Amino acid sequence: MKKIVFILLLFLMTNSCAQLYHVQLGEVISHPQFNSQPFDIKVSEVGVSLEDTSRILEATNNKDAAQATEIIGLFQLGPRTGNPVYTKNYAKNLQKMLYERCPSGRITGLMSVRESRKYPVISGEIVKITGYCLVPKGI
Amino acid sequence: MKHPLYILLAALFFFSGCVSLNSLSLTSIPKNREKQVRIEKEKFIFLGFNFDNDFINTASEDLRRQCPNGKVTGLLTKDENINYFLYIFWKKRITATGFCVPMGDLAKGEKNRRGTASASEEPSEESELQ
Amino acid sequence: MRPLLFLLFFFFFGCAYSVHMTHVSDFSPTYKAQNKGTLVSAHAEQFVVLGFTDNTHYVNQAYEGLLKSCVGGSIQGITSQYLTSLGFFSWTNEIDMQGLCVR
Repeated sequence: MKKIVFILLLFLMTNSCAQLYHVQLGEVISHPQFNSQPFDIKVSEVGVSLEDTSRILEATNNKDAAQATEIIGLFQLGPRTGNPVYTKNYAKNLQKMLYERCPSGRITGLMSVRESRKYPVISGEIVKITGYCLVPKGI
Repeated sequence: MKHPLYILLAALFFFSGCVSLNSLSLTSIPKNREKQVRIEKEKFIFLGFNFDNDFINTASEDLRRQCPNGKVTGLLTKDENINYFLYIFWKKRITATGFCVPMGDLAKGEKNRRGTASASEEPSEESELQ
Repeated sequence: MRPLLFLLFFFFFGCAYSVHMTHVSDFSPTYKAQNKGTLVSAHAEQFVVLGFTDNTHYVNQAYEGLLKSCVGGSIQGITSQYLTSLGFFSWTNEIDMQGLCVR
């Protein structure tokens, strides 16, 4: 019985809840002289939920640490999308990554997605860009 | 004497609203930026009683009207919330600012790319990609 | 020991950010490779205390900054990122825009 409960808990903790915050689509071009090669770029950073941390610490009778976490939370106020991350530059090099995927610059069908994968306490804050690179036929 | 002043200050404070940005988008920016076009659509909402978003349906039409025989591009679109009082009274505002590139300019650019004298043809996607 | 622990927490966990959205514009009509243009960028921010602000002009400032960085050229593939730097009862909204200036 204990083994089954443990396995179930492990299963729950390793499966994430996906949340979609923002999607935008651009123009899509299909051309008879070009092949559309799909590409995708995914950048992510670990976000930390102080609310989850505080709740877990309180549940495990660690009241001082829970209080400290709540005080830290006062220094992280503001509009939020997903959990806060501790580096802001993880999605800054998208321009370079796009040209690496498609050096010719013939990019179409761009979709920008902002989503997150939530786990207990932590989450993956993801920025995903998908698109097509138009490559001339015969190359 | 003091009370009306405080009331006035509080009124000014609340009616100016707290503005927050929900999202933005920007399309590619043209070379010709002589003519700027702008639209603004807003809707006043009480609590969460918003039964449709039809106020934005005429946004494209308004841009098209400001730019007849041209292409609207370099569009910066902002989606904002203006909170007057605890989101009991608030407003949704969409603004779009861009540039109108006349068709003549587009055809001229096409002629330069092709290197021919034929300016009568409409710009096509083929030559933009090659 | 506890005050030291609190100080350590503030030091290591002080700077938190929330990335709201990232948008990439189209590459039309220019469709140029990276070496055919110059990468240009613009940044603007707005410091807000307790949410009291009456405008989002910082977005327009970033937009105008990008326009000024590429006069006489067109800009393709513009990536726009909107994030907030979280703080103590205040925060800073930031906009970053980057694109390829093609002349």
